[in-house]
Amino acid sequence: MVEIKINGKTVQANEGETILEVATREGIYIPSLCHHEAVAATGACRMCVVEAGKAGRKKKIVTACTFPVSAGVEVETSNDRVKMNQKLVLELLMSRAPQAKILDEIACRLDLEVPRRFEMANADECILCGLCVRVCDEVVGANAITFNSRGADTKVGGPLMESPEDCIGCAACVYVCPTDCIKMTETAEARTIVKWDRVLPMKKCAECGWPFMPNFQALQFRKMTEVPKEFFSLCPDCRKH
Amino acid sequence: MEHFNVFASKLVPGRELFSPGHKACQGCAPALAMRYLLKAAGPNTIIANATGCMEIISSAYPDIAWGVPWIHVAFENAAAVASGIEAGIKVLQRKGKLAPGKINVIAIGGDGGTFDIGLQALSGMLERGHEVLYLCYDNEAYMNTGIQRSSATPMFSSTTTSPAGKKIPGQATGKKDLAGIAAAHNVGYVATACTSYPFDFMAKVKTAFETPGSKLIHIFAPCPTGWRSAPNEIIKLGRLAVQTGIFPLYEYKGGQYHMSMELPFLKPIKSYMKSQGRYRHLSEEQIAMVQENVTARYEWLQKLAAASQEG
Repeated sequence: MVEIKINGKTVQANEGETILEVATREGIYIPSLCHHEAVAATGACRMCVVEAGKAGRKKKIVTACTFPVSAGVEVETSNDRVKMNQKLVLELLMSRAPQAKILDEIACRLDLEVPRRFEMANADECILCGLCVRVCDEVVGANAITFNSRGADTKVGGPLMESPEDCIGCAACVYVCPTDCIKMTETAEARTIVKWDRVLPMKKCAECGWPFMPNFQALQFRKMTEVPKEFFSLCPDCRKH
Repeated sequence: MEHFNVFASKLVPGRELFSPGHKACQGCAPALAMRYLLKAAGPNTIIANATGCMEIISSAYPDIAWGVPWIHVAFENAAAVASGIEAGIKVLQRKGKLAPGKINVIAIGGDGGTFDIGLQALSGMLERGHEVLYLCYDNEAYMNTGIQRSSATPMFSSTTTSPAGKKIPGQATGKKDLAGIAAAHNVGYVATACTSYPFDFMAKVKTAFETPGSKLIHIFAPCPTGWRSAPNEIIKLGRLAVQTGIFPLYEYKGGQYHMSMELPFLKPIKSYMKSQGRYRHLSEEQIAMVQENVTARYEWLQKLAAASQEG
């Protein structure tokens, strides 16, 4: 255990924990978008900027989700320099994703007046934080989606913006997206992940006829778990344990 | 919302604010409801809990399962105490004695504490428009005192105070429509949920906190002890209750009804009733009668949702 200071308050932390983890535990608010405890932090969205450094030395602006704490680190989460940076990050994110409600909520919670100087021609709700890409790789293991193109044209989707063939339709990306820009629709016949343009026909239970999972997902799970072929012909409620 | 498969569950916050080691029965679904509630609400929460199963099992002296500020109140006044907490927070923040920021206030009651005993306090809270989420976990009888019937007990269900015998086939009246009563107060947000659909429930809790005004969530929570069913079947029973149309999931927001999931067809209610001891005495005619009521009510709700979508 080491002692660090956040906004002048001394708190206990384990060495190697990130500032964001310590602050969340202590109830100190640091806004974040691309961070999730289940996947590796990349500091892509820059929303969690704070000022950190050893006592008596010059402090730097760092991302709280990637900065490991050590003894004697002092952190400021809402001084003027941090606020100026947060404002700029929000402004840039808002010009990329003007419809994203969560950005307005963060601005409201931080009490910031965000100017709107830039406009993007191809703006949508995606802020390119890459959380869906990391989740699809690290948690799901399907690695179906990726970043396409470069610079201002960057877009998240299947390889070459085609419908991703490896997508099992688990909807983990839909659940985890911070701006809710990945939508899913479902009927008895098919599940569609709208943003990836992926349509998966549904498997129906042989006994009760209820659609319970996409065909392709059942196929992949059978490969992963080596259960017998009949296992996924029944829905979980009709399966005999 | 229905089908977040397998991997989405690994992305739910891992921190447990309703800690394990409490004294609930095996296979208790209301305890699951508490877990999901706190995962969605987060640590910045104050809870007023009416007497009931969840109070008994979580707070036997000297232990407590709650990781957030929590107060046990009498059977009838969870809503009133939560109103007071909300008003108190407002005043303290205005006077500068409490840091500004949003604090979630939740009142929790069982079906007895909500449908029967706490109804007038709940009505008062909804009418005054306090910023409180009232969560009613509905296991369809007074379970912790020994399975007495409440006004949430469904028709023909056998309980210790409505036993099935030669003359009477269990509970004689149907279930009160709590979500309907709350919606009639014209509050901000009303929803029904089920413990077998955790993502749907957690999304509803989040929507509730984003909506101004009072809100109520009625969550269906199977009780294996009181329903005389196997503890490993509760998730299946919850799913069947939704899929048969016995407990339709819907939301009421801004005067509009919205069905939470489109069911491809309604499963026959016999599949739901056959594994429960409380329905063991039912004859085919009685099942057919319940089926008719359930289908009619589901179709009525669908019409209501379609009508409010049209305008």
